[in-house]
Amino acid sequence: MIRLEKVSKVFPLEAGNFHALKENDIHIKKGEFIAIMGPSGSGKSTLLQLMGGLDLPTTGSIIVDGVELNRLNEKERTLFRRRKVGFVFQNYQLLPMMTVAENVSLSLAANKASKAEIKARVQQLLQDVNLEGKASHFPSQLSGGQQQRVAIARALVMKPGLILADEPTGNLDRKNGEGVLQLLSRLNKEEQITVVMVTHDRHAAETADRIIMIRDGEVVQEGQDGGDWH
Amino acid sequence: MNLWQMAWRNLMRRKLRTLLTVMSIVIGTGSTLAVIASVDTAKKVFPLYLKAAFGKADYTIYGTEAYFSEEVYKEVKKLKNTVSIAVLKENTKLHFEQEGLSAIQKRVDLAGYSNLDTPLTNFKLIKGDLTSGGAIITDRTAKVWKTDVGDTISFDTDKGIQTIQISAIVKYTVELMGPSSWMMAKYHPWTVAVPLSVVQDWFGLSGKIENVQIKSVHDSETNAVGQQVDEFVKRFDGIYMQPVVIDFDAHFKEVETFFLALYIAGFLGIALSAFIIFNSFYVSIKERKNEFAALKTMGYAPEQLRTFVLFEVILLSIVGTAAGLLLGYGLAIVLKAVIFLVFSVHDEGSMVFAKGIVVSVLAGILVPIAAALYPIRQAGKVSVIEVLKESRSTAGSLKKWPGIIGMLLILSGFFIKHLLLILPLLIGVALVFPYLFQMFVFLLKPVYRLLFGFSGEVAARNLNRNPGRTAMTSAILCLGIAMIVLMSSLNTALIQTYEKVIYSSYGGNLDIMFHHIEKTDLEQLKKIEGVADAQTYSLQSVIWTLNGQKRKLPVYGVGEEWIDRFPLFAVSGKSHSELIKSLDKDEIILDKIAFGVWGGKIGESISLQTLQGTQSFKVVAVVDTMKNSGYGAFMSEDNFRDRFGLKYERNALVLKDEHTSPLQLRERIFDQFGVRIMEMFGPEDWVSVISATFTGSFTIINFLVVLSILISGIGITNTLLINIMERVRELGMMRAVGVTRSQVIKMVLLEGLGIGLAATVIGCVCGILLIYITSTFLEVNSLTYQFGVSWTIILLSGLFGILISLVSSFTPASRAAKTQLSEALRYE
Repeated sequence: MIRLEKVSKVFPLEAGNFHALKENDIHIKKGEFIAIMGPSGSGKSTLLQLMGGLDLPTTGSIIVDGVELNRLNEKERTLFRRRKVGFVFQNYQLLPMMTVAENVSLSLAANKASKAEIKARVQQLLQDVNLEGKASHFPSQLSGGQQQRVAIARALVMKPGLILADEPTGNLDRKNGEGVLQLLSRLNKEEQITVVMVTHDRHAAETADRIIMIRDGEVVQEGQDGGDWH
Repeated sequence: MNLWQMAWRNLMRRKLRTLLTVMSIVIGTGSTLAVIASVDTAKKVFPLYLKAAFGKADYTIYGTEAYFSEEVYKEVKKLKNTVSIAVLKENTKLHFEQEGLSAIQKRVDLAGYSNLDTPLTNFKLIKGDLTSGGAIITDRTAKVWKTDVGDTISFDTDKGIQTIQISAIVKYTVELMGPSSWMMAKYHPWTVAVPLSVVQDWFGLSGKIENVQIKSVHDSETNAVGQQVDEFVKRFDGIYMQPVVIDFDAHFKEVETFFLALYIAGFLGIALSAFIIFNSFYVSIKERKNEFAALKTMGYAPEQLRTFVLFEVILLSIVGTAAGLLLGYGLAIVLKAVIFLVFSVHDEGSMVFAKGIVVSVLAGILVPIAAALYPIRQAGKVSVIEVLKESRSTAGSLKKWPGIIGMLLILSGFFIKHLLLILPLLIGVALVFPYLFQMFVFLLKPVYRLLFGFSGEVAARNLNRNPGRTAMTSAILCLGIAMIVLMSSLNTALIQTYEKVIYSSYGGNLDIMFHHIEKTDLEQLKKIEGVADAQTYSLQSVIWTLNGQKRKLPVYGVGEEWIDRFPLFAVSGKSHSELIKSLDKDEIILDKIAFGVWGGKIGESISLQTLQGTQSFKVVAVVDTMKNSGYGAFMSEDNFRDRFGLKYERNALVLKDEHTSPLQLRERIFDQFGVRIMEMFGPEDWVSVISATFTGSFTIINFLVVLSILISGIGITNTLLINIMERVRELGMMRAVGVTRSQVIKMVLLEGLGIGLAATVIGCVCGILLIYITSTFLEVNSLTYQFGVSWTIILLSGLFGILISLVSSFTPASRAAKTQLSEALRYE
């Protein structure tokens, strides 16, 4: 599903170049649930953004679902994200002036889908994430856990094969966090959606099939147990 | 680090926003300086110009016939403490061989002076000699004729071709008024000054003169000289004396209204920049809440935080004001030149800058500080606890009191019968605007959704997210649009009204001024092909003593048998002839302007100087006229002759037949009378003069308003940039979930367009309201105008507003599209 070969990312800074990622090779199979862990500034989020085509590597290549992202232009990468990838963020990133239904349908609307198609899909997704009856609510009227579930529904709206989640439980209490993890896990198992999740939380990481440990821009360990990075 | 350094660094954090805010101060200060300096210069120069142009003499002696004996002048010269000149003017034609020039273009007024180098002529010598007995022309004339001192010029006179050498070239002056090109010579004759004896000799008028101009040597003795001259004229038959009256009102009747409109337009510039400053600092304080909270936790007192921001405002205003003064200096010079051009004042004197600089510096420094006071206060009030809590972006709600105050201010506009009503009305509109804006966006939403789909939907929703800021930005543009609509419509409406009155009170298709009319002239005139009818009339500019001050009043002698065919005024209720017939001996009709200047009531009397001394005339009616710029009085012909004793007439009115064009009529009449004609003026000439003056005046005002609209454009850019910065994470998320760059660009452009559309629609409605209110009371030259809306003006103003909003949205849109996704999603 995802293949990273010799991927490096360098950010030019005034004080000199900052190597966020250093020649990493990562391979993720279709249907896998991966947790990426590591200390702050280790390059976890950068890795996730490169996988989603939000940014391009300085060197190396990234192939997602058979598509080499380096070869796509800006617009092609946008359309690739729209169709193939679902993003979930730590702070949900819902649009405050839009209702739950409108937030969920964002990618469909950008894709000029018909009203009927949007309505049916949104209804289905809200049911899947247990938010029936909240369609016309605004994000500010929901709890954190509910908002994150809306964000997951939004990520699923285009039926992507890959979900990239950046600290999806970071802003949630344990109970709500648990609910979100169960949802991601269910989607992974039942829908065969590949999930890549960045997390600080060892408990959350344990939901995954595999943990990739990253430190100073380098993958240091891979496996069922990421080891102790503290 | 000192406070200035800190302020500078803070301002440099948002370079583009700082630049835009400074630009608004630059334009505001610049327009303030330009308006005050150019108006002050005009106010100082106009009376001096009039005095220099028309008031070199203190008294003039005229004859009751066209000419009188030069002996009078010889006696005048004996009067103590006076300087004097005798004048004799004749019309002639330049003998000039050049292809394509018609006879009309060669008309010359030949002015004979007994002395060409006196304070009474006051020619400013450029080249040559004033006393060597040759001809004197202006630099403007010399340039068109391509002649120089020492060259000769020839004229076709009654005694054949006469030649004279040019002895001097002088600066352009009213005495030697002339056209600026051969083309303009179709409308105005040239003027050449020559020694008196030359005119007398060439025209067989030996020993004759037309008038004597007298000036007191010492200003303090002007009255004593006046008494001397008064006694002097009683010794001779057929002459009378008139003091030279500088009638500022008659020359620059509506100049004060124009200056007021200029001040309002200038004020608009600085007022709109205040909005921008408020907006910028309000947002800047919001952005830096965390920093202020952190500083507070470190022990900084609220007044210290306020001082930080105050220094930023002062630094910004100093930079803006300094640059604004430079811009204002240039603008003032341009504005002065255009104002002088519009009012036909030729003066190369220096500008009056002092007051303008003081006011614009004060405005440039104090207005930004006043505008930023509220945000500065907010900086000190930042609560650490509040900041530590995560804030949720919620749509703000509108307070009721600004709306109520706004409505009251708008209503007050209906009761203020003065152009100043614009100020409370526009402030009222600004206060009510957020409500109107919300309503507009509500209506816009389905339209946007239908036309622009996803981007339109998001843009419409974004318009409602910061109602205060977005609506205020739109309000700024709205005020500019309202002013443009009002001023352009006033321009058109006034010209149309003038046109109507000019045609209804011109007295025919052409007014010809001869040097003097001979007995057979009228019959000859009537026989000319294309002339349907003709009529001569009497006109005398008499001295009117009003509140102890002398002013001039043109009085027309009107015959009841011809006034219906040649209406010199417009009257309602009865016919012109009935009105004239009903006049008793000492009764007079005033036009609206003279009536307004007088300030009396129908039935009361005015004092006019007649041949029999000062006499009272009862004002029995008021009429509309645009004859002589709409300033004069009318009395019956017989009574006029009795009172003013003029034994000759100079003017003839002509009606053309249907098949003759105005130009053909002029050419045929000129062919018949040639150089005896001093001036030919038709209603169409008058309309074009009035149109040029009005359009010129309103163009200046509109130029200032356009500057304000540019400030509004800056406001739109600023607000959109702020919005984008606030929503950078949202934009990042949208791009992450597959919204394309072009969709983001469209979204921001549509948001800007929405601001512009609301401003344009509400601004046009507000402009129409202003037109309606002003049409109920505003009088320009005593003429009111009918309420009417020019859809062309509305359309052009609307397109301009939309264009400004779209152009202003480009930078923010491109910035939004270039948002670095990885940065945006990391942004906290």
